[in-house]
Amino acid sequence: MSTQAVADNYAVKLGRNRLGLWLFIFSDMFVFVGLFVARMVLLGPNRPELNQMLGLAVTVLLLMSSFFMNRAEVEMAHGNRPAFLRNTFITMTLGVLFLLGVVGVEWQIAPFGPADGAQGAVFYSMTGFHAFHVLTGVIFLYIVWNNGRRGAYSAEKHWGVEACAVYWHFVDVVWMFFYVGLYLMGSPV
Amino acid sequence: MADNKDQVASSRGAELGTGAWVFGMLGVLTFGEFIVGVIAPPWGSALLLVAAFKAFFVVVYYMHVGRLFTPDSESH
Repeated sequence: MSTQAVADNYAVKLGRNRLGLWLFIFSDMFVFVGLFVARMVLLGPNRPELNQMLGLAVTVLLLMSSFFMNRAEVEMAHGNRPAFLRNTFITMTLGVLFLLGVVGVEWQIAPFGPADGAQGAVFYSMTGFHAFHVLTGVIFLYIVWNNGRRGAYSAEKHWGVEACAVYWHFVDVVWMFFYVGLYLMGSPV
Repeated sequence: MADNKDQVASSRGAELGTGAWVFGMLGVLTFGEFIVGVIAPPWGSALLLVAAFKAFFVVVYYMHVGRLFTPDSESH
């Protein structure tokens, strides 16, 4: 097979991979939309009584992780492997800190449990489902980081990095809405 | 050869700069959301519009949704 044919073949595969990933993200989005609608119906003009500073802190952590993920992807696209590894590692660390902030701290200090009425059900299902996505994102990041360490990606071929970045940013986008829905909209119950 | 290297470095710098600019804007908007949500909760619903605005920038500049329509290019 000629070099041109190999490149064309890769481009076709890349196009299909991207379409597949976006279709997955689109379908996954419906679950989050469902959770958000449940919040609107069950809590209406109220919101759970939560720690505002902690909410802001974990939101900033996730925003920063998106920034470093973007840097990691750009660096790999330009063949700068050490910078890619460094930025991916920072992204992973920020993801773990986000998980610790939500599951390790917010869940522990919230003045209600999962079985305490609508606010408990809404808060724990929204943050729990999102945290599960963050966890899978961190695992995905670790796999990509480890592959990168072993030289699996190049400036020309790094679909794994791109897929991981798109997924990670999607998790960030979901939190942008959940942060408003859980921490900022309405009056505290 | 040197010109090509300069172009690559310049493209990398531009992409990193765009990423930083988007991050700065997201940070400012998030802090604005926080202030409005804490001091004026009745306006909280309007913050969904701000969230949608932020999401738009992430989808366009970080998730590169445009690449879906140019499948023959690698991510830079």
